[in-house]
Amino acid sequence: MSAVLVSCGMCGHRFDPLETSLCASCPLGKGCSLACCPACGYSAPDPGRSTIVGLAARAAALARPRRARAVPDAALAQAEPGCRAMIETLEHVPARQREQLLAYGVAPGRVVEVLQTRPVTIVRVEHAELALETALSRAIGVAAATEGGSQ
Amino acid sequence: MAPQAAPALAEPSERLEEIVLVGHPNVGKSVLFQRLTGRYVNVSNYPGTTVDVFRGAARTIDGATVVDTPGIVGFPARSEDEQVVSRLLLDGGSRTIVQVGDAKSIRRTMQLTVHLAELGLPLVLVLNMADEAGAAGVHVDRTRLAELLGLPVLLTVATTGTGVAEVALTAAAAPPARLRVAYPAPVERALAELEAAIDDAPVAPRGLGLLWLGGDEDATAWLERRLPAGLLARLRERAELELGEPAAAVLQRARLAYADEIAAAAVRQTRPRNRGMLERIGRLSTHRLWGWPILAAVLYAVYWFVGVVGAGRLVGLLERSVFGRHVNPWLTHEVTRLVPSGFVVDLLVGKYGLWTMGMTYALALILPIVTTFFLVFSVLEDSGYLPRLAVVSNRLFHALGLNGKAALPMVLGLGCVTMATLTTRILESRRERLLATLLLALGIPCSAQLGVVLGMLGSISPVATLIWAGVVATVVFAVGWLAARLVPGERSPLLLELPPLRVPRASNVLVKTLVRLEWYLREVVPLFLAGTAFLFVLDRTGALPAVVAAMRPLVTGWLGLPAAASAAFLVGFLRRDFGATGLFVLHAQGQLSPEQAVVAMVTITLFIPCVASILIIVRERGAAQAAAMTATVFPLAFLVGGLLNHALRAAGWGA
Repeated sequence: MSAVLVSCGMCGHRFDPLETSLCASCPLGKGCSLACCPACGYSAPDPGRSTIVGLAARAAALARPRRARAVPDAALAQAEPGCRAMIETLEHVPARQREQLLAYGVAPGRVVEVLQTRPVTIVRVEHAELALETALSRAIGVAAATEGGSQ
Repeated sequence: MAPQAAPALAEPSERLEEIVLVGHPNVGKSVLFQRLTGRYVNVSNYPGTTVDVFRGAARTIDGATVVDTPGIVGFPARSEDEQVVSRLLLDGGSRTIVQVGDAKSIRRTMQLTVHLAELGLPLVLVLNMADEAGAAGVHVDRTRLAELLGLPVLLTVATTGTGVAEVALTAAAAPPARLRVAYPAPVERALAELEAAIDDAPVAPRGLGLLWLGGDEDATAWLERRLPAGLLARLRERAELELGEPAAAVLQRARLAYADEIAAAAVRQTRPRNRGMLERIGRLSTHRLWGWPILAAVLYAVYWFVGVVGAGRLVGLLERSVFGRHVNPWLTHEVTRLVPSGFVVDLLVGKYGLWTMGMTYALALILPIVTTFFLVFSVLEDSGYLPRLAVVSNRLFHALGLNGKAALPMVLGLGCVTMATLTTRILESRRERLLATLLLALGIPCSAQLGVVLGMLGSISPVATLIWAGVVATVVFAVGWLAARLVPGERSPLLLELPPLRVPRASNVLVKTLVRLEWYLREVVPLFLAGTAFLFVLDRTGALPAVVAAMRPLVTGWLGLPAAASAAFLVGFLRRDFGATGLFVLHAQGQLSPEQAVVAMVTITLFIPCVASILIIVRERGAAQAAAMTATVFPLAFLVGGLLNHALRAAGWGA
């Protein structure tokens, strides 16, 4: 099933362009980038199959302001340099980066020392320094940070 | 867990064939490899993959091979280099894993130890950089740690050789790892059922099952080939239903808890010694304001050493004095006297002579440049500054759809683009590797190219160098920006470990430079000779004037260069630094005006680096992408060069 439902420009019927039975019997075959409405037969370009529409959609997506990701209440990015912060949650971090963070030992319950926050966040975990882009440190939830001190 | 017998006394169960060094990046695996094998790295292709691992014969164990692998962050393997390690480990055979870990970061090391031990192969844990751990106030109780893990544990300082002698002996006698972390009951049930269904696993079936539950693709593929369809899905579904969350998260938590437990029992933390100056410089080098002047100072130092000392003074001395006045006249005289055939004399010492052109270019022009570059570059590499560059440049690479990590292949590309193309495998996604490879192929000049450009344009005026750098940077940025928007996929945020800044060891810098020089000459000399021979044949058969005439509209008309530059561009297809060297010589002979020199250098810089780099791109990214890049880069180079020619003429610069 296609992720995008198409609204028919003629009759308003909403349908999945990949599931219309009309395509199977159509002589235009597989190379066609039109979607035919199963209710009235009216055809319109299927954004999922048209390269031009796809590129235009990408361009439009670029122009649109990005929706902010969900962020934790207290984030590592907000901690002051020099303080120690206990990691509370990584649930807002994308899966791939979460795996990496865990492998580095940035895990819920562990304490990191914040060394720097700009241009990127740099933390000390055990005795290793880890540079994290702000987008990432903003997604790492921390419990209240405490001032100062090395480990 | 029962304590182990003294490792060196135990009898190996069978003849050891391979010692595989595995560990996190930057923990000293390669230094240990050198110590164990007595040789620098020896490149070999691992079957079924695109990334290199290094092999060498063990010094102290007859018939055993030591394997150096790329650093891995953890399992499941995600990046290409991690997959190489994962495949190597799952390959079976009589092998012992030697996990090299950072003695300072015990918890992190333990997490990987658990993964490796679960494979059930003989395993030795080597905690390296024990001296730095001591300075950081980390005291490891080795005996206690060995008892808890049920593995031989060694403390080493690979750079000085401390404790290294024991590594091979211990590896030869290491028993299969028996470490068993207890996971929640649903996981254990799934594992038990899986273990019962597998009988020919290359590693412990339990370890294979844990890799699969953690999401490792290779382990999953292996199991899917052997198990009845649907079994894996059913086992996972049941376990995750009972657990109430993904199994990977549960495994990860259990391992973290185990690592904490072990570290608490076997490691004592005291007050660290102050690292002082180096730590302060390290901090400043990633500072949002101070980072830039430090970068400028580093770049200037590289420019001074490579551009002024290497390309200026050393090349001047070798080319004009040693080769121009002594070696070449003498050799020409001797060859003419001894060899009766005019053809052979011409082939060796003529205008397109193998010696007078090929070897002179390679030894008098390229050698001093790459020597100075590799020297200064090895110092930078060993100092730990390069990863800090990633922090400073992260924002810049953001605009190119990459993150600061891409600074590493880019900077390495200034050494050799071919080697740097391999380094793009440290980037997370295929998209990022493609974008970085494109930028490397398009506009990152390698050391030889850079030295020739700096030497030639520096002798004209600083403005010429600035125009060249500005145009190349603009083209690279514009193409990168556009490609980032056209290639589908998301950029991944920067996540990078910063090693401590260290004072480079002179011996290591020298050895590294020599090895790179040897590699470089082996690569350059044959191609320079082949290119020269090609020109010689064209010249002899009378085809060269025809080719030059054919290229005239492009070279003379569009680029505004003298017809003689055609030969340089022709060999530039083989290696662009060869082409650049030809243009350098033309300029030295007074055949290029300043404007023409800038246009020629911009055009040749935007060429694909060399045949070797194309082959590497084919290997790493596939023939289709390599062809697409080649088809884009060459026309773009001529397009930009021609536009610059017309712009400079319109502006009246250099006339």
